[in-house]
Amino acid sequence: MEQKTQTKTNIVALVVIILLVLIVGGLIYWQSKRTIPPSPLISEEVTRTKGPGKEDSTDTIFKEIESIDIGNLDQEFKEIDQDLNSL
Amino acid sequence: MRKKIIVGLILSLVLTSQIVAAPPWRNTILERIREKKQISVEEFKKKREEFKNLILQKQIELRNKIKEKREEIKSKIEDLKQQLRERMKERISQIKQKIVERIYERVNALNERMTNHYLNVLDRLELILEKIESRTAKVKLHGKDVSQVESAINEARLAIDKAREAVEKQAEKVYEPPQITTEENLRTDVGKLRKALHDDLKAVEKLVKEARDLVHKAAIALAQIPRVNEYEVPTTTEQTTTAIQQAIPTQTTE
Repeated sequence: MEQKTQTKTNIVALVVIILLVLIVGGLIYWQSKRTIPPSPLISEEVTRTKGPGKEDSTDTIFKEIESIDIGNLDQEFKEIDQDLNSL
Repeated sequence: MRKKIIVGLILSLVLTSQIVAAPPWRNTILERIREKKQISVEEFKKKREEFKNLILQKQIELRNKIKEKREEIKSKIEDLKQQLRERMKERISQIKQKIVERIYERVNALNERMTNHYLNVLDRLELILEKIESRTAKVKLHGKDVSQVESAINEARLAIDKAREAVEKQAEKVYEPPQITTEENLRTDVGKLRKALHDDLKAVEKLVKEARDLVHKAAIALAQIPRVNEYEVPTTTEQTTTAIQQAIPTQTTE
């Protein structure tokens, strides 16, 4: 009888521990979710420092250089090579 | 003695012609600052606008020149195609004749397409370089040392000019039809034409890539200046030499 009561107490303790873990985990998750979106003040500051509006800023210059595609010359010869192979 | 005078005259003529036909980069914003260290915001904008217009005007002029040349070339290519037809007659099969003719057409078309593409790339690089210059000039107006960026800009400009010259020459090139020997050798004979175009375009592409790399190098040199994007043209009150040297980058005007 006493052993049965002991087992019951253990089960209750286990359930309580699991519940506590779940609650704490949930709280941590909720807190982390809350901090992800940046405050408008911070993002405004970043934007101001980077200066995206400046057409001669280094950001714009690098973006423009990166967007230049010189092309693949060998690819352009594909049609000629196909014809050549059929001779 | 007479020889010396003639040589002297020729040299002075060459020098005069070079001064008269001054390259457009003489009008850049950096050149303007080198001549006179003070500039108003309005003048800065105006000078940039003038230089950009000059760049665009030169680009249009070159395109028109190439266009005219290509019109002349077209009839020449037609004549050469006719000669090729005559040469192939009764020597190779009808089907193969058509293929050879098509390859010849494609070679000339590809040359036109690629040279147009390379010109577009160089035009864009030139405008990017103008932006690098504008930012460099803004930094220089605050008394900062921009000599490394300036020499990188000059290198890039020379590379663009060199590449453009090569593209122009390539655009005006007419490829002769292949010399057909026998049907068995057809692939080798026509392959020579393909190789000639490939080698030529590869050489031009190399110069275009070099120009792009040097523009990139100039941009890197510019980006190495601390807080480079925060400099603007100083207002009139800031324009004494001392003020320029002490100017704080955040005191900017748009």
